[in-house]
Order: sequence, then structure tokens, then C-alpha cells
Amino acid sequence: MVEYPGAVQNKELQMKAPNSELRTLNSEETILEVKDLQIHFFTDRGVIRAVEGVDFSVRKQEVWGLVGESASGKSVIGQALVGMVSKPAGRIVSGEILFKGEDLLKKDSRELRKIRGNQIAFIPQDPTIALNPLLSIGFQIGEAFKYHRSLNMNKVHEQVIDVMKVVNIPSPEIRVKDYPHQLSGGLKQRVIIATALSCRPDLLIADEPTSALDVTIQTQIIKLIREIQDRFQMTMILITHNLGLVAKMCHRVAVLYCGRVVEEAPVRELFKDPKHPYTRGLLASLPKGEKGNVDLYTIPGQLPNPLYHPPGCHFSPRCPHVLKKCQEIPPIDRASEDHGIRCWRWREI
Amino acid sequence: MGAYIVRRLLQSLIVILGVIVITFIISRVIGDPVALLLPPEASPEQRAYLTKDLGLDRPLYIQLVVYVAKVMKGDFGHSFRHQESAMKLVFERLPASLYLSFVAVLLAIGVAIPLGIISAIKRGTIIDRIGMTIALFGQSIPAFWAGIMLIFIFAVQLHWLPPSGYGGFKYVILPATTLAFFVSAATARLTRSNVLDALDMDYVRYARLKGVPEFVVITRHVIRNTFVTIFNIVALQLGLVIGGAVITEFIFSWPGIGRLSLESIYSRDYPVIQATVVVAALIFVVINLLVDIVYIATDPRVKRN
Amino acid sequence: MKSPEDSRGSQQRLKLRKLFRRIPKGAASIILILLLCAVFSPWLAPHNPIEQNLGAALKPPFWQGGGTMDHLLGTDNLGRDILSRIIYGARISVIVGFVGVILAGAVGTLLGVIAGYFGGKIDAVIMRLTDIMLSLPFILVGIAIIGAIGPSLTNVVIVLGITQWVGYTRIIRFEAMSLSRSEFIEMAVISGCRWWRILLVHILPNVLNSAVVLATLDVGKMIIIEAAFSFLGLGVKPPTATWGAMLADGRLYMTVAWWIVTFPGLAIFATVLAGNLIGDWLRDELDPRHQLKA
Repeated sequence: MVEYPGAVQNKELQMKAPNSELRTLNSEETILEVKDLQIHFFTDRGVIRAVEGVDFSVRKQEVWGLVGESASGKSVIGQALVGMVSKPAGRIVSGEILFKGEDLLKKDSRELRKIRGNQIAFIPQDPTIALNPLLSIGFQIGEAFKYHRSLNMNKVHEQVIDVMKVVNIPSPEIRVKDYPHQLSGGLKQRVIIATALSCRPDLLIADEPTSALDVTIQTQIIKLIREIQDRFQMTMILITHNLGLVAKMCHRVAVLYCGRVVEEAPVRELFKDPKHPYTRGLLASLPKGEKGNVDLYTIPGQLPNPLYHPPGCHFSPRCPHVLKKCQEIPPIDRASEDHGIRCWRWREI
Repeated sequence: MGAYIVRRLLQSLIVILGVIVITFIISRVIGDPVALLLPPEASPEQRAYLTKDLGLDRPLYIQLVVYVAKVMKGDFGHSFRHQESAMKLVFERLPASLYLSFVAVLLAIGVAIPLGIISAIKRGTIIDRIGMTIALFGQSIPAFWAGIMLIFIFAVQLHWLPPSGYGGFKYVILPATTLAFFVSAATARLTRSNVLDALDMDYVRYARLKGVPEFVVITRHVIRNTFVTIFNIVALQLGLVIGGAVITEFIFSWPGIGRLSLESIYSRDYPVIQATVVVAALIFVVINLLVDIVYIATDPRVKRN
Repeated sequence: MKSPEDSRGSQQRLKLRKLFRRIPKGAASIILILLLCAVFSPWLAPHNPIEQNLGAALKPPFWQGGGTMDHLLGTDNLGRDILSRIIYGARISVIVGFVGVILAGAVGTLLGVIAGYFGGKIDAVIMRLTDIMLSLPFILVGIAIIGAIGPSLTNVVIVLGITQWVGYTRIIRFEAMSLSRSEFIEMAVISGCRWWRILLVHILPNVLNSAVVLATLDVGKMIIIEAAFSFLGLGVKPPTATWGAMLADGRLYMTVAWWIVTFPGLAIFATVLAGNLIGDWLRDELDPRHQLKA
């Protein structure tokens, strides 16, 4: 068995499991099911297969994590869930996205618009550029609400103040008239979160909600999101490259590599016993902290050129366990009911 | 904000001063006014007398200072041709030019801005191509040729409109259209590129993510954010057109300051030349200043005390 | 064995060839025709452009009744052949367009580079100067100057150079400013490069791209302005054929001879259109964002 240098030892890794893990997930009910999603980008230089056959499902009240590096396709999946894949280059080639049983990909733009912001809310990565500099934050928070509920201005105003309180924005009655440039990064992100919450969505998708923020603010925001999730029992999809965030927030997590899910498991299991070589590499490359050695492990090799994915398993060029068989795409194998691995050799390694 | 306005005012003042100095230089280049005013058989004593009277015997820099001081008060002297105060002449003709320019700009933006916006929204489609081709054509047509052709078609052949003269709609529509050609073309293209930039902004994307209807996204997020820039462009064109409609006024015999200046140049009437140039420049500078003020007054990012 | 220089040269030649393949063909051919007319006018024009022939005055183009194949586009009020005058007129337009643009472009770019690199007071002075020139209604100023020094081709070009440089300065200054802040300029300064060398060798070549694009877009404007001057009688002296003067002449006879006004105008229009198309194409080609295309 190959040992990764500085491989994860259970005792060293002091990961706090999210509170909600202690609660059993009441609903086994699935709110979102994605089947064989294929998203390709058609450029002058060739076709980029950003998402190549991704399946997953998210249960009600669950926090589901999607982890991957920059070009893994995770953001594209997030965009696809709200129907905002960049046209004209990007196209959802095949697959189904079943939200509450209905295929979103078969809906026209008007129906999608009604769902967006209303039942499915999206938190983008950078709050600074997501807010219109010429409009007050109160207005922008209430915008989604206004168009999904058609209430009069006073009602909207009340709701805006309410939701600002939920995200702990101080003195909301005064700040409602502020403009984005008057707010710090952390406050702006709270505004974005407030906007997402305003319509009490069934599903909240957060794309790297903390990467654009300072480290100190990140902790605050993470705490806030967790509180909100606890309080409202909201279903959440968390898209991130930050494994620490996943450990703190998610119930289950899927690891994405070059457009395919390579491993999917409950968080605790994934960290305790990662089975896919890529996942192991990821976990091994986490910095250990002041104890342990300071040398960082990095997975050898580089991400493949998005235009030319290797045949078969995408990770094979960098995998220490590669065999000839890996030229064929491995299917998802089950270690347990909840733990899926896309590898031919997971049992042996 | 106050400091900025003061700075802009100062800049504008310097510019006006510069313009005044340049008109002085030009007029001295144009020719000797004494020779222009007196008949050729005038005697040397008469010439000497007039030179002294006009203050032309003093050193050049003193003449300049005197000139600038007078101009600041609005005194350009008397027109050589018309025996009236140059300033008065200019002010008599100014309204006609303003009228023509306003109509031209209104026509232009009525066509150009919607064209630019639609082209941007439908970028890449056939509508976009057609729109921008029209704009390109408009920019390439020499205004005076367009004017002549318009006269030919509408006045000579069809007899629908008078070929020249001053008056209401019938008279102003052709010259205004002629002027509008170039203005609309430039405005359409600039509008399109500004709207394209705005459409790329993340907050537009985010508004869509919130589920805001597309029409509202366009009007509230895209257009409102480009409004100031477009306003800027339009004002600039207005400023240019007021002073620069020389040829159009000439072709259509429109009694504006453009035609006045042309006549004065032909007849070497330099007080009037100076007056028109300075007034035209002044209008341009003032419009620019106003645009800047509007800009900072409407942008919430500018700090106010 | 190929040396690195060889492969770079052939790569550049490949790029140039690809570039030429993408030029908008229609526009390029119009410009080509223009240049041919300008250079080879004595051979291309069927008649002498200034020769008057009152017996053949006001003849319509050949497809209309009364026209002849001898004068394909008809004649003007003095019996001069329109087609020949247009061909010879191309000379004036080409000279004015190119020389004017080079003059204005050179002055404007130089001032822009100086303003952008030195900043501070020099920048402020140049910017004020630019503002002043922009505020002046340039047609008036141009006409006034020509009215003073007399109409001639040289004078028109000079006036164009004096008034049109402003369009370049603002944009070049902006680029020069951001270039001056960049690291390789810092390196040049640190390694003791003199300012004039930095300007000439480092900054100027890099702003040349934008300058060329602006210049190409300006050619059309120059031609129109020259035509305007000629139209007002302040351009090249008659009887030299220039498109603007033809418009002025033809205007008086518009009711009886529409062709005198139409064809020179079309010539101007076609030329300016072609110039704008090529200018636009060039700007899109040189836009760094276009490097994404293969």
C-alpha cells in the first residue's frame, strides 16, 4: 500500500464535525437529483468538456458539498442548477436536473426565472462586484422579493429589515439606505446572503462564499451560514475548494476532478477513510499546523489541458496506482450505501 | 466634491483664456485691419491716425492684455462690415444655431440611442450587424454632400420641402437631419459599446440570478448605469455641433453663428470672427462643465459633506 | 538545423500572411483602387481633368439620354470630364489623407507620450492645451487660418496637422501613463537609461499600435475635412480637380445636372467608408483580447 508522505493520521486531524451531524437527517427525501449531466463549452480552439457525466442527489435539509480545484467544473454545475451557464459557448449537452421532481432543463426561461431567487437561491463568490454600485443595498435586497411576491413597497421594506436582522447587519433601519461602497467586504457578503434568504428558498447554492473575503471575516461568515442553516433547516449546496470549510459545514460531500465525481461520502467517512487516490492526495496536501513537519505535500503532475482530457480515468496520468485498465472510464463503485468511488482499484489500495 | 468643482472651474477658465489668446493670434495673422478699413487711396496720415485709434501702435503684448480684458467684459469691438458691436451680431444669430443644434441632437439621440442599446442586447445577431452598418454609413457620409443630396431629393425633385431658409419644421428638418447624420452614427456606436460593457458586469448577472425579469434587468441595471456616460457623449456632441455647423448653415442659408463666421472670414471681419470663435468655445466648455457636475452629483460613490 | 532566428522569422511571416487573409476584402480593394488612381492618374483618366470643352458641357452619364461613352460619367458646366476629375481628385485626397494623418498623428502621439511619461506639470500643460484645442470649433479656426495664409494643398495639410492632433493625445497619453508605471520601464530607469532613450525605444513602439489604429480611422475624417475646405473655396486652388470643389461647382447646376454632385460625393463616401472599415478591422485585430482566437 502506497503511503503518501505525511499521510493523514486520524488523531492529528482534529476536525470538528458539523453540529447537524449529530442530528440524524430526518428526511431521506431528495429535493434535487442530477442525472448524467454533461456540459460542454464550444470554443474556437475546440470543445471543453467541463462536466462529463455527473450524478448526485441532495436530500432535504442537508448541507451537500461539492469540492474541486479550479478547473474541476464545480462552478459550472452551480451555474447549471440555476440555468445560468454562459451562452453561447456553454451548452448543457445532456442530462437531467430534477428539482422537486421536475426537470429544470426542460423548462423555458420564464419558468426558470420564477424559480431562480425564489425557490433556488444563489450566493456568488465576490460580493463586491455582484452589487450594483448605484442602487442602495436595501433596494437590492428587496428586489428579488419584490418580483417574486409582488407586495407593496412598505411590506417589502419590512421584510428587508427583517432579513437584514437575520444576517446580523447592525442598525438595519439606517443601513438600508446605504450604498455598496460604504460597506466592508463582510457586510457586503451578509447583504448577499440576506438577498438569497429573502424569499425563503428551498435550496441555497453557495459558490465559494468566503474566498473573496479576509481570513478573519471568513470565520464570521461561516458561522453565520451555519447558524442560518441550523435555524431554517435549509437545504444547501456548498461549492468550494476549501476542505476545511467542507469539514465544518457539510453532511455529505462529493469530490470533483476534471468534470467527473470521483468520490462521494458522508464527511466524516471521507476524512477518516478516503478511498480515491485523488481524495487522498487532497487530504495529504492539507497543512498540518505547528506540530508535524512543515513540508507540504503536493499531488505530482498538473491538471490536464481542458481541451484534451486523458482517455479513461482523468486522474490516471497523476495517479500512483495507475494500471492499463485505467484507460477505461471506471464506473462508480459503492463501498457502502453512502460511499461511492470512481476507481478500478479502490479495494486494493 | 466642492474642491473638484472649483478645480474644474479653474481649468475651464484657463481653457477659455487660451481660446481668447488664440483668437488674438489668428486675427493678427489674418491681416492688417487698417488696410481693410480704409480705402486704398487713403493717405499715410489717415493710416497713422486709425492705427493709433485702434491701439495697433502699442507693443504686441500690451495689445494682448487689452484685448483679453475687453473680451472678458464681452467687448469685441465693432464689426468692420456691419457697423455694429460684434458681440451683438453674434448674439443675434446664436438662437438660430441653438435651435438647429437642439433639433439635430434630438433627432440623433432619438435614433441612435435605441439603436445602440438594441444592437448591444442582440449582439452578434443580424439586428446588430444591420444597426452597426447603418451607423458606419452614417459616419462615412460627408455631411455637406448629404445635405446637398437631401436638398436635391426633397426640394428639387419632390418639392416637399424648401431648399433653404429659416423657420419652423419645414425649414429646420433638412439641415437638422444633415447635422444629425454624423452625431447619430457616433452616438450609436458609443452607446453600443457602453451597453456591452455594462451587460458584462457581474451585478447584471446577479440580478438575473435573483430572478429579476429581463426587462427590468436591462432598464434598471444596464441602462441606468450607462446613462451618465451616454449623457456625457450626447452633451459633447451638442457642444461640437453648435460651433461646428458651419457648412450645414452655409448650404441651407441658415442664419446661425456658423454662417456668420464664414461670412466674416471671407470679409476679414476679425472682430466678428473672434467673437464667434470665443462664444462657440465658451458654449462647449460650459456644456462640458455641466456634464461633469451632473456626473458627480448623481454618482453615490462620490463623497459629500 | 534551424536556428531560433529562422523559426521566429518564418513564424512572423506566417502571422502576416494570416493577417492579410483576414483583411476585409471590399474595403481593401476600394483603397487599392484609390491608390492606383492617385498614382497612375495620367494613364487611367480618359481626359485631361482641367481641359475645358464648352461644346460638351453638361453632358449626362453614358446610360442616360444624350450621354456618350466618351464621357462615362458625364461632364460639368465647363465641359470637363467628370470621371477624369474624380481620378485626379484621388491624388489630392490620398495626399491629404495620408500626409495629414501622419502629421497630426506624429504631433499628437509625441505630445501624448511626453504627457504620459513625465506627468506632473508637463502633463497638466499639455492637457490644458488639448482642452483648448478641443474647445475651438476647428472648422472655424481652420478656415480662418487658410483665409489668412491663402488656400493651397500644403496649407490645408498644415491646418489639418495643427487641429487634428488632439484626437491622438488623450488616448496615447493614457497608454503611455500605464506603460510608464510598468515594471520594465522601472528596470530601464534603474539601469540608467536616459529619458529620451526610454521614450524612443521603450514607450513609443508600444503605443504605436493604438496610434496606427487611430490614424487609420482618421484618414476618412481628413478627406472629408479637405473636401469641406475645397467646397468652401478654401482648399486647393482651382482649376485643380478635387472632390470637394466638384461638389461646390455642381451645387449650382444640381437641378439640371445631378451627376456633377453625385459622383464626387460617392467617391468621398466610398473612400471614407473603406477607411473606416479597415480602421475598425485593424482595431479589432490589435485588441489584446483577440489573442484568444487561434
